[in-house]
Amino acid sequence: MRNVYFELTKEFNAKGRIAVLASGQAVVYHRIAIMSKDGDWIIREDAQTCRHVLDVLAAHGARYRMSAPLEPRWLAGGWSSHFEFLDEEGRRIRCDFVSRPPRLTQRETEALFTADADPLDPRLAVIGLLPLIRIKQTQRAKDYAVIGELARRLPPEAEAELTTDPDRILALAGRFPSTRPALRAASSGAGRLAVVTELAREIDGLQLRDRDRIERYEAAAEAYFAAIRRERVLDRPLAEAHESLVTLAGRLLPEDPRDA
Amino acid sequence: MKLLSDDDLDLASMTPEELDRAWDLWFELAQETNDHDPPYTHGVFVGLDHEKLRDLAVRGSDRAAYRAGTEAGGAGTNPEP
Repeated sequence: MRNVYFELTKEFNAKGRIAVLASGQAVVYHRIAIMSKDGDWIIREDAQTCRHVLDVLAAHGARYRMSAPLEPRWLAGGWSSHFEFLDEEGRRIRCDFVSRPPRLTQRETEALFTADADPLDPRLAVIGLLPLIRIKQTQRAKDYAVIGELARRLPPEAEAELTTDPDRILALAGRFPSTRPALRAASSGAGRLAVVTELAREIDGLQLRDRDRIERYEAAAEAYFAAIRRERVLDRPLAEAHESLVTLAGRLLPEDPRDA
Repeated sequence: MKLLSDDDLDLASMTPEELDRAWDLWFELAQETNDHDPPYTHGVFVGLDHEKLRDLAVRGSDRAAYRAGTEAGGAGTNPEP
């Protein structure tokens, strides 16, 4: 058996790179840890890509989970789309998609689709270490342990700016100019406690920013979610559910809650 | 400082086939906790557990009913607890 999410990535990219595997399965690909049961992809933001992804998912018998429709109109506003199916072994496969990953610029996102793929199979496009670290700066504490391990793989100057390991900050301090408070604390000889404190402050700030961002989307989705439940959209086959979600979202889901 | 355990990290030395088998075994075992998993681990709905998801939909229904009531000139249902 192969990693089902690696295989799905190859299916999505069968005719060219439209999906880049990210988050937890990228952590597996980079041989850091096995800790995610879901698949997450960053996809190109166009109608053809969305149709192809939906076709692949439909062929696997996938259904929508409560989410925005997989359409450029809402993907462009930072929304995510979520699906689920059972594989032939009866295992739950969850598939999540965005086209505007948080904390990456548009240019950085576009670069994902031209970066090097797996040397053995060009269809297996996986996010690189640097953008992976940035998208993992979430509100979840466990992501920061993974960031520390990912950062070890980077050149020292980049590691110094991104690591979450206070011992690595102390080891790298003073070697490169930096405005990062934790590095400056280490360079100034303020001691380990000062470094740990600055690091905790930094991580807390990242977590709060991510939480604020997500709360906007949750609030914006209330009426839309209510309509989905009322009309039992998620019980329907994928193509039918998609059309219904697009109709409901057109009425009830703000395209970009960040504009509010 | 060790941020992840040795068990987590001992992947680099595996062949691709070993990694596939290890992931497959882990994924099979991890199915046991499906019912207890949060609804979302990525995207903009992370942090919503099953209860909050229900509340969100209920609040949305209440607000829609309230607006329908006020637009019709009636008192409507106050959506605020």
